[in-house]
Amino acid sequence: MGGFAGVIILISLIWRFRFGGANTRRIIVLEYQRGIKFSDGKFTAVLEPGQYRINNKGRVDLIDMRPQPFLLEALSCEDKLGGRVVLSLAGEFAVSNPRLSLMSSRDNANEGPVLISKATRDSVSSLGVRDTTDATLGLLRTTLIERLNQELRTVGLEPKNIEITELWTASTRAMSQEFN
Amino acid sequence: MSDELVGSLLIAAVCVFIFGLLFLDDYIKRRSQHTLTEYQRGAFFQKGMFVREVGAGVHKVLLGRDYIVYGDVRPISFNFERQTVALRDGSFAQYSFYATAEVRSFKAALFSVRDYSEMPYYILRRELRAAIFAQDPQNFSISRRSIENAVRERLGVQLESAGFELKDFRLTNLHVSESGPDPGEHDFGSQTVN
Repeated sequence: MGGFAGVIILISLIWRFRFGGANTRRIIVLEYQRGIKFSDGKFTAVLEPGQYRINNKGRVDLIDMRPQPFLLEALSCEDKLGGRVVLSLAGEFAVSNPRLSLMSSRDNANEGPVLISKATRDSVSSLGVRDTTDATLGLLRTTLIERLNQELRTVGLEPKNIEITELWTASTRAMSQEFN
Repeated sequence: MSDELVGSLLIAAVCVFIFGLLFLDDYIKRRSQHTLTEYQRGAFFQKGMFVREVGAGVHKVLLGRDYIVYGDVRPISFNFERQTVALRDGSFAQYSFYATAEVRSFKAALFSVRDYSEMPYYILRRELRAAIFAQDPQNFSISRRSIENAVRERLGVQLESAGFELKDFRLTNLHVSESGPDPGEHDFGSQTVN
């Protein structure tokens, strides 16, 4: 009978540690997600896609890694020389650092466009934007992407496929009206 | 057969029985099913990894291992009136358009962006604004049809890569306005989307 009791205890132990019993719950991290695991409230790991068991002391916050598109249309800014510039911007941003993204903003889908708008104004204000030629657009785009990378990195995000879809400057219009 | 052997076999049988019961209990508790209607598609994940697309019907899942993300695949239509875009010479163009897009590949749509239903809207607005801005203002009136065709082609490619198909697209209005609204005094018919 001693052997029998021993086997029952062994099974219970296997059950407890292999399947976890009632003290654990299953967590699925999907292919386009990452899990931020906390144990006793402290960060312990970034979970890759898969199936996990988390005990009662643990917690997993899921982060969506898919890109989030944005449109900033007719953003009115001032350039370095004080001229009015209006530009529209389209692109995407995605999470590059899941842990940082979770810790630094409540909702990165809303935080992203705010930072992008700020970075765009900063980029324009650091340049003299006098016309809408390809050279100006190229310079503006390069400056903008550099600035966006810096700004978004602070909250664990990265810009993707940034495109300036419209650019208007007060000086171009004045020149055009004079010409006509 | 010795008593010792019978005893061991009995213990082994009891162990297997108890283990089986525990396993069965766990399995029964985790068994579930998911019903998708005719206008829905789903992505079936197993242990977090995409396995296949699923259509209308009842799908069995094992909680904690399987997961179905489902979504609506009915067509999405847009109609925008009197949108304003600046041209390169500082003048403005006004345009209106309507379009209809439909999910072609649910997997591609699901993975392309966080909320796939906003993707056609985003692509349409981006491509149209960029295409009209890129036009030469001098040839604007004669190039309307070419703008429409170029945009339709680009939209088709962009939407396809995002898992959509462009069902219908038409520029219902497009003209240059020499005395266009001043930026800042007019909102360009715009909005910020995120």
